[in-house]
Amino acid sequence: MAFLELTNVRKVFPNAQTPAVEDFNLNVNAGEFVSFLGPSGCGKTTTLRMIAGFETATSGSIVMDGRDITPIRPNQRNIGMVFQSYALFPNMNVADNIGFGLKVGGKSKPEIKERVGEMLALIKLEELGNRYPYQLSGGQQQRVALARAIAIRPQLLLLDEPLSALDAKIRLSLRNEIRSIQRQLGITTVYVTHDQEEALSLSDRVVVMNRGLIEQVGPPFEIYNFPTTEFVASFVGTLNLLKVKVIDPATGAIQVDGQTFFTGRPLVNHAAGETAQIALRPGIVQSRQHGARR
Amino acid sequence: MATTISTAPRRHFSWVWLGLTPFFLFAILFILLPSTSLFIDSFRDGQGNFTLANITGLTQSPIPESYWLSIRISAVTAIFGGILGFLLAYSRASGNLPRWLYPVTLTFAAVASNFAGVTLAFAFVNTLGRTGFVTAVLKGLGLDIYGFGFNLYSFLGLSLTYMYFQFPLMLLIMVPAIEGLKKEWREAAENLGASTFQYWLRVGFPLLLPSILATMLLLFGNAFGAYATAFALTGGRLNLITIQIGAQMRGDVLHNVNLGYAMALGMVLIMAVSLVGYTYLQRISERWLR
Repeated sequence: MAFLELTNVRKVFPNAQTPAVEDFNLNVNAGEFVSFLGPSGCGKTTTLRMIAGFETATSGSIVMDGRDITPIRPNQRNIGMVFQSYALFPNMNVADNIGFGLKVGGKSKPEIKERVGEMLALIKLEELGNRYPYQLSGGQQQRVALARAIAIRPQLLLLDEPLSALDAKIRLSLRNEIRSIQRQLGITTVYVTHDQEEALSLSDRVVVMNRGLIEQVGPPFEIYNFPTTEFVASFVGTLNLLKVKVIDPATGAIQVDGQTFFTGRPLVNHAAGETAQIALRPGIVQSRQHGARR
Repeated sequence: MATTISTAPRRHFSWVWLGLTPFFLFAILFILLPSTSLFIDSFRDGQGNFTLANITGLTQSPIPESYWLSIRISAVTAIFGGILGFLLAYSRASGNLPRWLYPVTLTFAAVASNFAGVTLAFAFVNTLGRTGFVTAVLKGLGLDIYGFGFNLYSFLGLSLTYMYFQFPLMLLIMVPAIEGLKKEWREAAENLGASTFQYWLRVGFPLLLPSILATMLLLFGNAFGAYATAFALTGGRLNLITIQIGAQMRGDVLHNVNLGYAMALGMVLIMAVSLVGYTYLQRISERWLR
């Protein structure tokens, strides 16, 4: 049984013409790192916020660890969340920010101190416990936000475009750090991003979304190499779209401008002689000596 | 022949400074020069000779009592006006009020916070005076407020009148401060297990506290400098420091202009302390809420 199950989840905002999320079905396994990838307004953040409890699903159910959490308030869900804007409390120092969830959860002072120490070590900011958020860089603030979300030992970790506000160099190093911490703790994670590189490099599986609907779910390799819809093909990576003539669906033989090529896999939904469209990744095009079959 | 090229950046006249000119002129003519004159004249006698008599005169009764009365009335109206204004601003921010109330409360606050002086005193006399309309209506309902000891021309009555412009000013300043609280802070607190009460106790209210205190200091200064409302309402019955200064300046009975200057200097010092406190707290608030 999956750890997180979203079944027929639908969200329609008041006065909206179209649903923000529709027919959303997804199972996430324990310890898995799943990314929601899509353009702005595709419903990925809305779905994440429904999991966190900040938005109520119009219909459908969200089950976590066998418990239907759809009607449960956000503060009862035991889900950690990292926001795009860090959302650190400016009136508290780093240590107090990290210990906030434990404090409101009624944990003892020594317990909070110990856990905060562990978290500071985890994000490698042991020396900065007394600093205030405005005294930290963006990258440091986001690491603190991550530590704060993990400190409460959540069953699920949600990250809402956590790297969008950071510059490219920090983004890359923090991306690796997030993945390494996630692997170390084995925590089930849902990550929202519009950056395909981020989604493909971090995730066990990627959920590509468009206009509130799931376009494709699969491991990064599959999403990149075998997109099932035109949207996924065009959204993930760069590619060339070519009109081709199908020669032999069984062997994947196609013809472009009178030259025959092989796709490398059977063309299941096409018949011989039919015109089809193929998406060609520039990176896989190789030049061979004349006469070599490819 | 070698030519030299100046690398120093040319300074261009900025029209931005033109907009600031009226402010600087105003500040020099009506703040800096009067304050300097006030300071110098506080140490002069009627003939223009140096003296400390005006300063030592500040300790003579009833001047300390007047300062204390002004401080008390300013503090009371700042605290209660502050609480009332904050609660109103909080109610607005909760988003649960009827829609029509939002512009109505702000418009009222904008007008009421500037409605002071003789007209305000007159309005209160007409409503809560001995023969006022509200007093009469309440009496008709069996509630004789003057019978219970209320008196518009007393400390309580004047405080109530001051509240009319104090809490709207608090509302006007607190609305943007409360709106400056980011939605993500609330969501982050909730996500970490905090209840609404815990969020306000540990995040929302501490974040607003510098703004609340700063605005209360502003209200304190606002009431401390008020003269016309108090004079029109109570005549000379409540010896506020502003009324004392007025008496020295007008010279009805007491006429010692230089003592008046010294009293005003004391007021300026108290106001300056409030202003420094206000600026400090506002800086903290801006750092947090930006």
